[in-house]
Amino acid sequence: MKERMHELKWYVRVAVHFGKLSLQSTMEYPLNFVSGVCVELAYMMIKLVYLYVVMSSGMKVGSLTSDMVIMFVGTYIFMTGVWMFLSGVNSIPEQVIKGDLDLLMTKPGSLQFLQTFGKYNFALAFPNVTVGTMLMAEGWKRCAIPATIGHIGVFVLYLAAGIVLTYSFGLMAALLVFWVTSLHAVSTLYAALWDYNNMPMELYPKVIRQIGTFLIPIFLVTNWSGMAILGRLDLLQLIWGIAVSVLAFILSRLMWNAGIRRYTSANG
Amino acid sequence: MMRIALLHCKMGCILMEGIVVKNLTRDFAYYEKEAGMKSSVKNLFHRTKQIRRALKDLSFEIQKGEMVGFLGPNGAGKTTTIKILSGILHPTSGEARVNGYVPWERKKEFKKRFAYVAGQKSQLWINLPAVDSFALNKSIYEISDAQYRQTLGELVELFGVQEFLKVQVRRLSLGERMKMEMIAALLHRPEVIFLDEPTIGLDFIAQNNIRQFLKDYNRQNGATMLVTSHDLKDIEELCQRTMVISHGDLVYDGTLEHIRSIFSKKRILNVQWNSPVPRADLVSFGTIKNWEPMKAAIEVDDAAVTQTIHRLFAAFSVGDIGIDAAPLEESIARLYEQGAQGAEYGKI
Repeated sequence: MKERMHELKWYVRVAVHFGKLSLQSTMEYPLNFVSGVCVELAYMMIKLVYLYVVMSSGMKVGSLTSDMVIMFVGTYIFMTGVWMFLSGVNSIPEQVIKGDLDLLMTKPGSLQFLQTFGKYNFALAFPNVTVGTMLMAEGWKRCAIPATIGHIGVFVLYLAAGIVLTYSFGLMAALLVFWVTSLHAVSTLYAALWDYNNMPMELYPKVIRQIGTFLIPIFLVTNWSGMAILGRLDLLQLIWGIAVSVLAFILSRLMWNAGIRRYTSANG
Repeated sequence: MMRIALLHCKMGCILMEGIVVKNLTRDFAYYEKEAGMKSSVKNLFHRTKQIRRALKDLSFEIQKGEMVGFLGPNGAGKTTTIKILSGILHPTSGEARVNGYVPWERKKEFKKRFAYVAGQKSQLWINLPAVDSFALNKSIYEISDAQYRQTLGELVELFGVQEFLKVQVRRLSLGERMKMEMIAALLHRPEVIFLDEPTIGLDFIAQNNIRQFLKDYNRQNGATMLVTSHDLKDIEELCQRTMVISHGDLVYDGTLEHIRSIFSKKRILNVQWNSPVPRADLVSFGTIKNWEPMKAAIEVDDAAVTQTIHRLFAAFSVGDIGIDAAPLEESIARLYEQGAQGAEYGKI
């Protein structure tokens, strides 16, 4: 037990250190940070235009009011920020192709941890996480959901499950580099699937909802926290939301191990 | 039959300190494609998998504290061996122990006891001063504050890089950057160090600094080192023992000088004349390796040295004469060539 605690502390300490160095690197070139923020803000404007149309027309998305939609769009923007933040995950294909995992492999600790939590992109994450959080809070307020510990707890639990899914799906998509040499098609497809969360899943026909929930459970990333808090999920769906996160994480871990076994470095 | 390398530990013996490699084999799979569209279409449906054997039953031992050079032409298997011993690659078959650990099991305790330095790879954060990367390694290797301060102080002094500690890595010269890489790799005081082309791309001053540093580190810490390099000077200056690998086979294990004595039955006579001597007049004395009107380098058979010197004195006005061994590079090149033809000199 003591050993486990020691190990856990090591992971937290090293992750914090990685975070500090990533932030320090960003601060060395403030213009890069500003340009990164500007690019993300430009993308975000497009997402916000959709929201504006919904808000100004007062239209409903399925059974969701426009106030509720704010919370879902906020969650989507927030998760996009999380995805952007994990640049250690997103840089895997380049690292593998260039053989840059070599030195990392010789370091103590989990290679998956050292690679996936080794670098963060604050510039791309900052606007998304900030605006996403603001929209979630605004949607929550407009929907007049009581801010009880229970409500907040459920929301945070499914938000955390969404973060685990974001990490796991992103990791699995990146790990395909061990089996295919060019990830352009995979990346484009994954980005397209991700954008299905631009609006709440209730917008889509039933067959798409089923596919996005069970076959390729991308809808669970951004819909489950809002739907859980609004009481739109039955017990089975609530369990499914957590189970999929756990399964996706395990699957990504297995895929990582299988991929690393195929690693041949750059000039091995 | 002559046995150049004497292995100290026979089959079944596992050294707890140092490196033991037994029958290490590593295959890489690849596909071949003939030129043209027809074969591209054919490959869509059926591709014949080819296997390239990068290492063939490689066996050797390195005692604790030894500095061993690892030579071989491109694609011989040097880097593959080092990567297997560092746990980066899995072997196809065979065994290896580094300080008692199986490298590819990648145990945390093992990783804390060795370092891998590759001249073309960097672990430093390029936008930050190297000292920030050192602090990260302090966290990763769980180095105590006191040990960190002491080790960093010693390494910085050995390399003389105090003034560069606070400079962004991207602003450093290649030589300064390599010194910082070394410091980052050695902060946890590794007992075993794998160096893959540590002086590649450096000018001769930086190369000398790195070599001197490695010698000092080895003397002070008794670290075991395996060094690959294309620069023979690295091996000559650092290592008492050299292993030569060719096409995945260990073809030699011994001293560099011994390679020269095996392969070179030639000597170079460096002669200076008192008056100009035409090149054509020297052809009958041996192979002219270098010629200028007032001096020449003539390659002759070992057995003919004395006789040739007498003939030169008789024929010309000789100012000075020196006898050198044939360049080591030539002997190594012949070793590579014969290794490629399947000869195994380490096992003669």
